[in-house]
Amino acid sequence: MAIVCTDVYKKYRSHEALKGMSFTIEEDKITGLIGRNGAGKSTLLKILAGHLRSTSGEVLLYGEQPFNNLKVSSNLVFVEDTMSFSPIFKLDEIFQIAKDFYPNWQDDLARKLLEYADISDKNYHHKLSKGQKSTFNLIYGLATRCKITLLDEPMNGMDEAIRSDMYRAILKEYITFPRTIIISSHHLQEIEHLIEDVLLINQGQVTLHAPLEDVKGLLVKLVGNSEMINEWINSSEIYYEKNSQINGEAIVETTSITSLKNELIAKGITIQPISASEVCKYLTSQRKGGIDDVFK
Amino acid sequence: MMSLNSLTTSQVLWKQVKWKCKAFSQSFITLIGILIVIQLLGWNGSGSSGGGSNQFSVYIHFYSLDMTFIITCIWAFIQSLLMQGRIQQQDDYSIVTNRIVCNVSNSIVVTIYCFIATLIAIASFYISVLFYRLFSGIDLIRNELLFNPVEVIVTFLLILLVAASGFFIGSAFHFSKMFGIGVIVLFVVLLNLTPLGIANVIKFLFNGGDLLLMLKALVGSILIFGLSTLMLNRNEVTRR
Repeated sequence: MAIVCTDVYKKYRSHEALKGMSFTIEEDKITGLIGRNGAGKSTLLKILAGHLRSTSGEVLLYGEQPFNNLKVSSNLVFVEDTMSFSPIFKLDEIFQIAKDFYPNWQDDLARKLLEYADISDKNYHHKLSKGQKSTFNLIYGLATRCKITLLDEPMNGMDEAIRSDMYRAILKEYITFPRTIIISSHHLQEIEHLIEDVLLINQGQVTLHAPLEDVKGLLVKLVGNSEMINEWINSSEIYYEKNSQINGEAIVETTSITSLKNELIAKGITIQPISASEVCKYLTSQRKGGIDDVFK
Repeated sequence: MMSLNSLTTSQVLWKQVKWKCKAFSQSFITLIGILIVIQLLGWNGSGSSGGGSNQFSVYIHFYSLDMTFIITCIWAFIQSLLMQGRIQQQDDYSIVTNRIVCNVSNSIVVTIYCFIATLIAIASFYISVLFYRLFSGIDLIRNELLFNPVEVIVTFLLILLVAASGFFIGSAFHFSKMFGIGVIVLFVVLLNLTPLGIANVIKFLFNGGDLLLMLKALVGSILIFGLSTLMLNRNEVTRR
């Protein structure tokens, strides 16, 4: 196993960011770390990168705890928004420094990608725009070819065109040199084509850790008369509901309706598949009703 | 399949020292600039006295390293304080590092910088005296050796001791702002509690000859660098 987390807690004064998080990530897999704002995604990645210490629990990367560990640091790259480099160096010089520190550094690739993104290597990192900074950070992270690559919202600020190109660059790089990659994002649909596993976290806990294909089939949408849906489905199994005489909706687990499928169809209730992104949204939702309920 | 990289502490330390020496090199421009201004304004610790009788008169101009030394000390203090700042240390986490390597490499860079600064300070002194000799026609009488290695080492170690103090205060502020303020308050209180304050510290340092002074400055610097490294060894990285 590349990453093993056992009962990890992280407390910031009175706020508990991680609450007993346990999971394992296999070697050379791309995992999507999904969660809402404040779910604990960045905190988890910072602990994995050795930037933060867990309050309790055990974190192991290839059998080594990451905090203050030079071996982990030389095999891990953590790409985030706030990544910074010495302001005296041009991008070209930053690449030269990286070449010195990372044995697998791909200088040619880094320069080609930078040229493709239309960023001059004579620029300074602190003078780049937000999108250019994110692009550079991602290029830097990919070119290091570290065994563990952590990407925290790597596409923040990038425009649509470069965003899809960069996703493709990640995939191509991964195919050439498979490595353990974790990409955090609020938007699962954006990285669906890239990831193999989904690690869904909510309020500091792991809600779901499964292959993307399994996540896709986890929930279904029932559309039809609300009263009729409620007649068949136990309310505790409903993740989301919209009451209406004709077009009522309910999101339920696929397994809970397997035996009722024919009866529901016979009663005029339609069963619709929902995307993995929507599954994650409903699994982390705090209430059964939507925003409309607020205005009632 | 890729294998895991394994870099030794000494390898990473050397690589960090190499790029950090370059990263902070612009600070020498500041030092040289200040020293030039000091020399041009004549605030270089030089002075003159004169007297005479019927047949002859004597004017003695004396040149000393004092002001240049003080300026270099202030520069070294500020430079090492800034080097231990949170923002500077964040850059380290974009490359291979751990806390010990980061702080030890900073200490080595400060030491190298102090040595270069010592040479700059001494050179600026010699250059200014040379200019006086060339343009004013005053004959020079050196009261010691023209180039005294002991003087160079003592100057370097004293600058290093001041830089180490800046390093410690920078580390204290990096650790926690409140702790940094606490260290300064404690330092001021301790100086005021002891009779004669800072004079006692200077007396302690200079009491006992050059060799003892060098030893005190060297051990003091190593202790302060070590303490700073230890203080930040469990510190978490917060990038903003």
